Amino acid sequence: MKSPRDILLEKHRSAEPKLDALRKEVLGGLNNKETKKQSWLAHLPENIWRELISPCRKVWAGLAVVWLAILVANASMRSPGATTVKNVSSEMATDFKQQQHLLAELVGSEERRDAEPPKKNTPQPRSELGNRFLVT
Amino acid sequence: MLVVAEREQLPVPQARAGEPEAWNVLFRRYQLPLYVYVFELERAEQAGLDIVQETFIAAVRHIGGLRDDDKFGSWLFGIARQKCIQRWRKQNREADLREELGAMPVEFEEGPDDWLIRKEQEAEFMELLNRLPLAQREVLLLHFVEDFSLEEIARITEAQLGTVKSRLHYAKKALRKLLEVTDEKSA
Repeated sequence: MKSPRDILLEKHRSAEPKLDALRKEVLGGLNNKETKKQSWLAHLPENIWRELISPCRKVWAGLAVVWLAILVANASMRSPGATTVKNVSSEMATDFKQQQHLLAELVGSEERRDAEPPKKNTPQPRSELGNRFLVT
Repeated sequence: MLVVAEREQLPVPQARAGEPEAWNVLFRRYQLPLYVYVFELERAEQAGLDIVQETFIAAVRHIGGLRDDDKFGSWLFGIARQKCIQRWRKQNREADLREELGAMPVEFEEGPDDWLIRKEQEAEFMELLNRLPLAQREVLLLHFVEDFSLEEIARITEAQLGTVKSRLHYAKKALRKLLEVTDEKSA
């Protein structure tokens, strides 16, 4: 007398060598993965140099040059020469104002062209509003 | 007496930590029961082997998702079932798993330990197993091969507990009938 489990397992017992091989294959993959991971971490600086920097040294050098250029440009913008640019622009502004003033004198209209201050629009009773319309 | 469901000390935490020897122990423990389950659903040797291999690989990859270490077995069978379904989806066989059964009987027999089959009935037992609808067959296999609890079977098969009970009841009923008939014949 056998249990259903025993019958089922015995029926497929012949597949065990194949299952063993399959198991070893999966474990082999696991071992490789594990050892690869460990050795990679142990030699991290070398690996970074070998896998990340070394294969594209020219690109890294190019990037370094670009960054240097950006830094130099940035530093030169902050240098004292920048204040002279400011002074020049303020002189130009005063010249422009003088020229505008002169032009106004020549044209003959020295009136102030400032806009009139906006009228206060205070609310009024409706009866007064109606009278105003009648007057107009 | 069949003693499968006893708590085993399986090296699941070690496997989670990535120890290959722990995986070896786990795979060795489950390779044959898993193959029996998959083969009896797929009815093809190569498909069975492929699915067992895919299940092992997926288990290694997703062990982090296993919350309860005691449930490793049912978790592994659940992965295998998913692999089967993926395969069936390609063959449009998924509908075989959806089977409507009658209401669950009031009295329900649990435990496969009262099942003992005589040598001359073995072939008939296997034949009947193959004749059962897929949904009943898989429940019966999980019950017999690993003695999973009804809750675990429900989790593996993604079915309601009542559905699992019904399927198991009808499968066992059919099996018992067959064994009685062969008993009468031999008497």
